[in-house]
Amino acid sequence: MLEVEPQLITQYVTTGQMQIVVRPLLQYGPDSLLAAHAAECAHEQNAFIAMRSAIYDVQGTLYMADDLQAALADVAQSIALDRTAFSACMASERYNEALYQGYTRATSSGIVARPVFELNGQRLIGSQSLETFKRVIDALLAPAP
Amino acid sequence: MHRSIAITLLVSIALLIAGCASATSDAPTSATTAANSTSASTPTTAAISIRTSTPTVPLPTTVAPAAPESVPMSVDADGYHVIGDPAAPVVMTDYSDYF
Repeated sequence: MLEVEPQLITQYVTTGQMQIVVRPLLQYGPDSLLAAHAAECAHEQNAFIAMRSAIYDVQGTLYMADDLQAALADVAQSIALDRTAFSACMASERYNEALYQGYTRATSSGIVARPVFELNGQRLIGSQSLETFKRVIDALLAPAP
Repeated sequence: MHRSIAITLLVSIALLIAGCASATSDAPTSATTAANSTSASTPTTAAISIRTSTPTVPLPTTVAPAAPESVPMSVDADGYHVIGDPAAPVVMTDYSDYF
């Protein structure tokens, strides 16, 4: 999704035709939880999208990090977040329960792999090309006959 | 007898001088040597300038921001982040993992 997300945002989100609801999965357990929690903590500093994008940008590095929490703090600092506030938020683990609940709801609705996309309820499983997204979105935007 | 020895000696000396002259003409002149040494150092300089102007290793591409600053952000009733106008007719739900 990340590869085509900027194009989709430019073409459909900025024009008011589409909204994207972000539902993080936790398929890699504690590491996924930490990363999702980091995005929530960034949201407290109005930087959810920036943090989400930054995490994806260095995904491989984070995956190999010995100390993921410190690495995520580095990422937060790299996008000019207040590291102290961010670290305090991470230490609080205050979003863990909500993130677990969201993940449980997703798996309960049949989301067993990632990524999965739903477009007005129409489910697409796995990574999709820009052309596929556009075809489905354009069909949804087309006036009913 | 002495005369024939002298002639032989003179011929030998003449041949020796001729040989040296031939060898000298095959040897590079000082100008050629200077040119060669210049051409030997020039590629090094050129190679450095090429490396600095055209990297042989592709630079990493910059990933575009996921969303421009102008895109509205909100949180829905279930606590999920929404990128874009929450009244937009198409709703894409993105189930993904950060890893």
